Amino acid sequence: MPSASAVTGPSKSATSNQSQSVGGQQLQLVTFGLGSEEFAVDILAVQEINRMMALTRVPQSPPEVEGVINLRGKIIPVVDLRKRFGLAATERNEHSRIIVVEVHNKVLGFIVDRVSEVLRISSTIVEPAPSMVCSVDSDFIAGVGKLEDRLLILLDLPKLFDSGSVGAMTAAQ
Amino acid sequence: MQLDPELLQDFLTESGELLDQLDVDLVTLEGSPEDPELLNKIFRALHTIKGSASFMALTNLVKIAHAAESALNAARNRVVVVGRGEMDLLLQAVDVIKTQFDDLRAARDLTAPDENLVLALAAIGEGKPAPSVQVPVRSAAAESKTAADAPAAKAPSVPAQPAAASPAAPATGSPFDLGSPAPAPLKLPSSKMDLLEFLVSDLDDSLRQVEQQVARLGEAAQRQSAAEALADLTEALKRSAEFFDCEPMGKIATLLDDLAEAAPKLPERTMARALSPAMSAVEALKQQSKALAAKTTLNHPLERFTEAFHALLAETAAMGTPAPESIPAGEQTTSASPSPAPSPSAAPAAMSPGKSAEKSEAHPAAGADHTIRVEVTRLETLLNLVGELVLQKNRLSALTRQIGQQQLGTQEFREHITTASGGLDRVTSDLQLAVMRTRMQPLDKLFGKYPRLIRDLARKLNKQINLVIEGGETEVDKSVIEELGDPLVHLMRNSADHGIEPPEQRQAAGKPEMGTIRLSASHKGSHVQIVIQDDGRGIDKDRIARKAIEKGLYTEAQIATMSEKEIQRIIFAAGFSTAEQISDVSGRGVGMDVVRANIEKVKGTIDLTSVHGQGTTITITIPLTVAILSAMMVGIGPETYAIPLGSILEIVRPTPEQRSSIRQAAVMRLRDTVLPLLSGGELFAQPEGMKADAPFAVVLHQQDQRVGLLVTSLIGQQEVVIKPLDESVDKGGPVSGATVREDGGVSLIVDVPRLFSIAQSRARA
Repeated sequence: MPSASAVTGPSKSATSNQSQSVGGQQLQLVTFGLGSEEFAVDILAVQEINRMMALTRVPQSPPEVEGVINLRGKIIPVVDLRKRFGLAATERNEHSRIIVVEVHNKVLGFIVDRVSEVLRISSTIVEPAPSMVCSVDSDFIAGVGKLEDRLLILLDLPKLFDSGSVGAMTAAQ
Repeated sequence: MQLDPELLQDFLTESGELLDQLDVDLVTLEGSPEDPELLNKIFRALHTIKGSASFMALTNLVKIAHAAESALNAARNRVVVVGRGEMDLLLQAVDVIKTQFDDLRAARDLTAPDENLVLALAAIGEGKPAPSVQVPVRSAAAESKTAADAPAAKAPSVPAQPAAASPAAPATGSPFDLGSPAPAPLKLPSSKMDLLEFLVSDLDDSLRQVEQQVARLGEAAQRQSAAEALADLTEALKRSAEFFDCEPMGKIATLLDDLAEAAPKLPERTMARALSPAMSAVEALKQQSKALAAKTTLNHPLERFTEAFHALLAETAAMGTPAPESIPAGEQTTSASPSPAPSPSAAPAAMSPGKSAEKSEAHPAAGADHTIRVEVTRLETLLNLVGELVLQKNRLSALTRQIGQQQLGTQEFREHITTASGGLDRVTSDLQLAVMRTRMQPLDKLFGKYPRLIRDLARKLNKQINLVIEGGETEVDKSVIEELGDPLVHLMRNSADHGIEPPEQRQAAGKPEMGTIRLSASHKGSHVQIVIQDDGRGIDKDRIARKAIEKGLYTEAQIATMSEKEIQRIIFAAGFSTAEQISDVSGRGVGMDVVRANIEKVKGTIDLTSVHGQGTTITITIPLTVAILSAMMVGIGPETYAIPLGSILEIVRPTPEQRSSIRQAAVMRLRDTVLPLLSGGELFAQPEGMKADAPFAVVLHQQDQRVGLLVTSLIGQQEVVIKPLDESVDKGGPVSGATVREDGGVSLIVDVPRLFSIAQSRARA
């Protein structure tokens, strides 16, 4: 596996101790950026984070599917999250990452502009998503985390990679 | 239903296999209803199922299995001949058992067998042929297996057993003490030895009943009926004894018979006294049965016993006086005690609990030790791991080559690493092959279902069909077998329903009334070929053409340009079915296209040739395995693709003169034919600007169609491990599956059938 390992497990990267709220459930999140916005997903769904690697395009696959990669012998689809959200494409650079997650009992990867950090926040600071908060369809948003200096958009992965949205993401395996 | 799940699983697997085999054997039996070996085999299978079922207290299953078993037993004893009527009943019984198996799998209560079916089978068991013609009733005790024909050719084919056939020390004390004599080897011809296992288990059944009846003799009110039942049972015992050539057993049975005869007239007191010795006699028989199971006999000293017993029975006649009702209570209870729970099991229909199951399992085929059952998932894991190993090995070979090319390290080092790498190469290949083998199963697993299918169809359709099966031993990967099941059933049905004509029509056409369907399998290199051939009416090209036009699949003009074969092949098109009326046999309109899709799913191909009026031949070619593919690796733009080697006819480098275009479609002249050219870059949606130069044309074929695929470079031939593509990315493009290259990257595998259908739809557009 050439470029696999890289940033290995996110748990190894620095855990921020920012925003230690009292009460409520602790959420552990992996945060990443797309354009100017910051997103987060539950760390439990994340299997690993890889540097960009060569993708193999699959003819006639849905446009947001960038291609497939070999993840230790398993062929997994990789989705370009920019395309998924309908954002303008940008050049990939050394900050681009593939976040590998398990959703609906399936493993898939998605490409983000950069991975920021692993964060612990209290669920008390998470509010339900307002209908128009950002560029992303509110259906995919589990909530918005209000940090001191910024907003964090918590993604609902199962909905984001639902059977209806990215082709038939469910089924198989 | 509370059943040990593991036990249940074992039962379902083992008995399930027996059940499948039963279908095959029964249909074979219909052709040769008196084949004793076959009868025995069927009987044994049923008996084993019954035994295991009773062990798990599956009463409804035991009931039907028992009924079927009795019927078969009558056939074995030549009391009845298995004709059509009998066979229908037997097959119905097997179906009931299958339903019950489904119930078990679904954890439902077992379906109760149709009482009429049970009775009808039981009637056969009693010697009445199926369409109720009254025949001298044989006692239900015919149940205890006695092959009446005992030629008794004593072959000394006996396992070396402790030969000490001590005639047993003369018993001291009570004349009714039979002691426990040392076992002597049982002398039986090997044909009988084979039967021993289940005969003994049935003997146990009978003995349990004998015990019950003897106990009932003690009660005046039941004495008459008990005596009658006992007489029947002892009759059967005597026949068993004769069959086993076991004299002591016969003698004891005779004694019990005498008791049965005398019992109704015995004074109460004498009866009570006779019970204890009678129980000893039964006990002796039980010992005997155990000994027989171990292929030995016991020679009980019977002289004094017989004398005393007869004296006891004679006492009555002499005294002739109805004795006073003073039964020493103690004595009676002791005598009756060996038969606990006199469960009034309906008549002599033995529902042997437990023991018989153990007995029949005790002597399974000797081969059992050489096989173990392994969960399929474990094999799958193993296969995946081997796949990984192959990839790693490939990487290592690539590195080794690099070391050689770049002259890295010392000469000695290079030699060593080359040797090591070569060794690894060999071992991995062998390992791969070995693991693949574990997943191979004979096609008989599928083929075995068809005799029954065809038989039932033939009867339903009033046709005469002879099914010939060849090459069922050919092995293919388990996953292939699974995918082949449905398509083959469909094709077989088609042949029987649409192919073979009714006898009158056949006769009129000058064919034999009996139609023939030939199903054969054989190896063809790394593929297996399955051919289904019938001598039926064949495919009417004109009718197909009409239907195709009616359904709007093709225009008249298109049809006009098509060859006969192409027209015949329309039946594989989606939504095409010529069945004029929808029968429950076939012709639901989802036919052949589904068949084709299923076959293509396992990377197989299907072809058809038919001569109107003479029959149809369908040829299916499937790879031995779906996990590994021999492929040609080619470069198309920046990507590498794997093309299944089986689909490649040749690879050429067309000169500019050979290339031209017809109506804007690129074509290539190859020797004296012209074939369409497809641009790999375009077909595989390479980014713009990558179409570039594609100097090579890979000539692909499907059935007799050909097409040239233009590729940028040729990389080489390789065995690749097929990995599935996620459904979210596989949207019908000309690829299916992927493989991991030596460098860890992913290459897609070209799906040739899809490529052809894309090419065709383009050509038509």
